Amino acid sequence: MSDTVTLTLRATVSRRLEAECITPDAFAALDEGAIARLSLWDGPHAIPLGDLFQVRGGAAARVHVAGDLAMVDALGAGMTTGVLHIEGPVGRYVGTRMAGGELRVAGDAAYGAGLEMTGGLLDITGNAGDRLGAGRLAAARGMSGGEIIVRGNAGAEIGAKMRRGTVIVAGNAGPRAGIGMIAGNVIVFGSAGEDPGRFNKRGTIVVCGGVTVAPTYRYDCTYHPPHLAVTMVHLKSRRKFAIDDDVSTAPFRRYTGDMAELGRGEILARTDER
Amino acid sequence: MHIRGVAIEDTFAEAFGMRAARVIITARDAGWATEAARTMTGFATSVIACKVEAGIERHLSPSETPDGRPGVSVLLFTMDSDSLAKRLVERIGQTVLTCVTTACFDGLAAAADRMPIGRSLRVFGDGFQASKVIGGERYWRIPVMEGEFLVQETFGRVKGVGGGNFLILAESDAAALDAAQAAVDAMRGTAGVVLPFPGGIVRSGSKVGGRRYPSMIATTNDAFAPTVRSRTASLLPDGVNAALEIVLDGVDEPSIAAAMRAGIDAACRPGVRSISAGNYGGKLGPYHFHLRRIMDGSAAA
Repeated sequence: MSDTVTLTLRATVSRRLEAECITPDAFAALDEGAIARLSLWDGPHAIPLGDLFQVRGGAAARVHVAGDLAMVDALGAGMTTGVLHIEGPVGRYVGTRMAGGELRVAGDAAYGAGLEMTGGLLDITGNAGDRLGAGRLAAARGMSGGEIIVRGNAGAEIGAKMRRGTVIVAGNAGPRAGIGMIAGNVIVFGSAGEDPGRFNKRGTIVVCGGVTVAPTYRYDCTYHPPHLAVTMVHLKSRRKFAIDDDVSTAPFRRYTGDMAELGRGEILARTDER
Repeated sequence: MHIRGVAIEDTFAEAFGMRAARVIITARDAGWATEAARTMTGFATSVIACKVEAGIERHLSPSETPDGRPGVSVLLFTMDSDSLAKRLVERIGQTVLTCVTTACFDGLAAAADRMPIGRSLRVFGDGFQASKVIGGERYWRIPVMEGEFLVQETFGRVKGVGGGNFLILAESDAAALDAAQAAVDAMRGTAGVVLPFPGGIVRSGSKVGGRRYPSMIATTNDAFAPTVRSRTASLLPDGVNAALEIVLDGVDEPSIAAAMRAGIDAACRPGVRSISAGNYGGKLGPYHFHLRRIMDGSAAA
């Protein structure tokens, strides 16, 4: 038994693979040999994990994966506990349906990171693709718990249909952030692309950079939302998230909407008004 | 035992089990946080008539509070679990919610026993309230005329200790007050302890029941009242003309013992003849703080 299971990529991955088996949950109960026999999927074809990765250690809920995994999808899918640390870029659906534990990606993540996540922490140091923390296109709801942090930029439709939880983007977000949000929080420290919060029921979208608010939102007031102060402290102290003091103390313009929906959501747009 | 010529009597303070909560009040500046805390802890000297005992534990820097603003930590104590939740809802609702710029947080995050305080107060929002989960904790945003009042959904409740005390027996009223103020200065800011009486000092120490008025819950502690020395079984030594009491409540025994040690040591000054303590013969309260054991370090602190 070891403290950490380490997977090191043997060669460049040129075909798209699915790696749902790479989770701390699965590795915690298996020895090194059994981990190496787990299956990755190349379309309908199973490939032993040991063919692609050198495996060191076993029976540990702390997993370290190193290599360019941009063509490897679904890493950490459904994980419920432990720590999965990935050093390098990852493919689509990283942390999809994860319910607990910590998944840290030191690199970029492609489409659908944290898709339908229900708990835990997904922390991405690079950029994230489209539909971060969203649901599958036909799903009734997206993310319903947990926390996603992206320390770079994020793509389109982040937090789409999310029901609960928090998505935080240090940089800019693409168009239609929070589309169809039921509740939860999307916080963008940069600017948001066009049409944020369309069909938002009760969700909160915070934008610290530029944002164009849809005409189906109504302006309420300019104030200092007290819950944002708690959020900022949480991010700084527990997530080591760098936040400028002028953001922490800035007032926000509050817009209520989407009036085309339930109309109990909000967009909080940082302003320089005092 | 003597400390700088002051006799430490061979007696003990008798204290009781209570239920405690810690409330963190923050505001735009320390002045408004203190204003809310003072209002919240007003009329909260004794459970006998106030239903709750409360005091300011200490002031908090922005780096110590959940929202990064200046704050004040308040401890509240009641005799039973149910009434603690009621008192918190009343006092937060009337004195913190109403105070400009404040927010209110639980200060006992590790306590497994939770009271639904914010969940009760949220209805003031009349349907316009909203909740947010931040870092796994739920908070309620209640709209008010100034913006929003933020309050944590649940607050922790722990077993505490109430009624720790000691008596300062002095040659004059001035000497007693100087010593008491020195004791309070030394005890203030001790983690886990509050002094619920005005300025931390009690001049009207009480005994259980009454001789003339049996229906009274408490009456004057005539054994330590100098003006009736000749008419009662006085416990005042010769030369003592004034006595003052320090009463303290705490979240646990070691906190109270530590504060008593600091306070008694500071009270041992010129003009003070002895330090005593109030008890009921050890029959009523399960916590006994022996003065000499506290001062010689043999009591846990």
